[in-house]
Amino acid sequence: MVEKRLPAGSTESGGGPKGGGAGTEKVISIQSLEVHFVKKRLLEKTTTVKAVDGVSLELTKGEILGLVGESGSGKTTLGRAVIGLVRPSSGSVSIMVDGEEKDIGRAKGKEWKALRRSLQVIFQDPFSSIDPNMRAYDALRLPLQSQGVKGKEDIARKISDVMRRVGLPEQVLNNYLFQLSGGQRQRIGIARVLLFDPLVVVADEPVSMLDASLKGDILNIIERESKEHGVTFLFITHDMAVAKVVARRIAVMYLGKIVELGLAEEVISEPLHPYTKAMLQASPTIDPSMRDKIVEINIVGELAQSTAHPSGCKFNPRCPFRMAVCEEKEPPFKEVKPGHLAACWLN
Amino acid sequence: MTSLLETKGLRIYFSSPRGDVRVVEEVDLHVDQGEIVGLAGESGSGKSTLALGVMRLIGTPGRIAGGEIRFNGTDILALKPDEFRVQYRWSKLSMVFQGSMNGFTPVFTIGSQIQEVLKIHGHETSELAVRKLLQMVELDESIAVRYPHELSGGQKQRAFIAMALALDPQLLIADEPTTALDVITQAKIMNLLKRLRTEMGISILLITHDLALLSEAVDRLYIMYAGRVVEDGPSNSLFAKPKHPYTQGLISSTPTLKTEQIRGIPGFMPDLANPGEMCSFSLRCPFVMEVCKTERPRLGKVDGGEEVACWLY
Repeated sequence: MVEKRLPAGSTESGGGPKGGGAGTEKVISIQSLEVHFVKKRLLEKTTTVKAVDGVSLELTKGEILGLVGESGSGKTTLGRAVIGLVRPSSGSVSIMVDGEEKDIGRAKGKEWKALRRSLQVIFQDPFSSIDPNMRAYDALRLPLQSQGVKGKEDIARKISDVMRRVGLPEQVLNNYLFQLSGGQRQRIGIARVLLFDPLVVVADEPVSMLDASLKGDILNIIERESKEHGVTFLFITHDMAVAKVVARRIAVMYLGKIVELGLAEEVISEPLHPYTKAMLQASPTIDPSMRDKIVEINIVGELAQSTAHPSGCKFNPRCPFRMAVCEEKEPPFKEVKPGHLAACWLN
Repeated sequence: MTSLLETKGLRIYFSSPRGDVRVVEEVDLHVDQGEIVGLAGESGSGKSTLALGVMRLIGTPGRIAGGEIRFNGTDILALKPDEFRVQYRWSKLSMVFQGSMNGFTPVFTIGSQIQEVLKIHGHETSELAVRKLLQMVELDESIAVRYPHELSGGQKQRAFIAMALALDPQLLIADEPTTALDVITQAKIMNLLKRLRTEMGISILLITHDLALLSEAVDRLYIMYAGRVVEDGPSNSLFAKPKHPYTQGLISSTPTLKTEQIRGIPGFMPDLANPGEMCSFSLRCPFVMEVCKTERPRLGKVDGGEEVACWLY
């Protein structure tokens, strides 16, 4: 499970394709995944929230896949299912470990404990996801010990390795976490994730709470890990621009479904789904000539309640190109151009 | 011509065991009639504190330690708290706070909360007035009888803007009005702010750390770093040719659909309790010179109507 290290400095940014050193080797395979939450209340009708509603997706080794969608689209739930924090209602998530396919959703006991090391998560908020009253050193030591790494030297070596990889000086280890800035804390959060040489990391909005001046550094760490250590990232964000900078492929999620998937450049230059198009139109660029103009947004309303999905295509109530078929039948998620898929009757 | 809002040498300090933390230091800023002016900078740069200072909402341990704030020429710091509350706050200048969409009381309807603002300030409190306000922010009238939890984030943000417009202010301060909203809703809120300016002539001070968002809305902008304005000017020339290394760094670390790679600005902000005599940005500046470490540069005019505080110019 332990990756072979490349010599330091052998892959500077700029070498190789963007979005990490994506190979062809499959690491994560999601098959018709559904995660439904059932809400039961006294004297009320039982409602089902379909947070993830039929997602199939494959991630290759060392790939960074950007999962883009607005809040309520189900992207975080999908991420949680990928690392086994929620169990699928149906379908499966499996991971390839040493050439063997393992079902994350059904792993139990020892097998599950072993898998957990390979499946890690970086949280959005570096202020609430780590105990502020802990020293940085302890925040890194405890997870190692809980996973059975003993011996002071082993621990120290591992910790200094991850500190180097996230670009923090070792004197920070003596600081309490409340003494660190948001950017430093997020690096500690990433360092914790790297302790176990994970195969797959779900990065859930890792830069959305950080200042612009710090975002670049964190994104660079993620990119470097994917290239140099072959870590696969499911990078969850609501910001198409951030996804574009870091990801090789982008998947757009809407109400529990993937509506578009393709290489980042293609999704951004030739979007196929009206929802993707609207998000791209709405994304600001640095352009002072826009200031006297009104940004044209041709889609109406907001995300529907996840308990009451519209029939047919889930996007149809907001879509400017709605046709009769859209209200009746759900569009298939199909390949429109090589490697570029979309679920829309227009294509 | 007097500016609608003008601050001169404004200082806002917070007392702490280590001495005064100088959160806002000698800030000169003005917003003219009908202008949208931006205020940008990273967290801790003092931009929100400046806005709260203008609203006279700085509570202990903070205080306005010096300088002037003029609204239409009147020194509003010289007014008694009650005079300011009755004559200025919310009626002449109002504010949409950061995270204000969570600022509604959950137990009353949106309509009744907007009516309360009108009532307290002695205006007529008809349902018609509420309906007009909701229309102004492009919300359906039926929102008036709904409770905050029944609304989406975007709807709540609009409703709060309606509340800020209730007394027909001349200046609206919008502090991060779109954080936590998705891009589509964000673009709609920005469109709304632009319409308020063109259709009602409201001046807006827009505070955000998102330079891309700012660039698409403002006529002029101020860049703040460690409590001070380090660069200001018309948005055309400032974005085309940023002068201050901090502004350059901020722009190149803003991800947009056109950027290939974003660079960060290494390092951290200095201790504001003990800023010393150096340029505050010298610790992080790629072009740092000897003079930067010993003497603070003053804001000076450069071409294109810009001002910049940097020894390079």
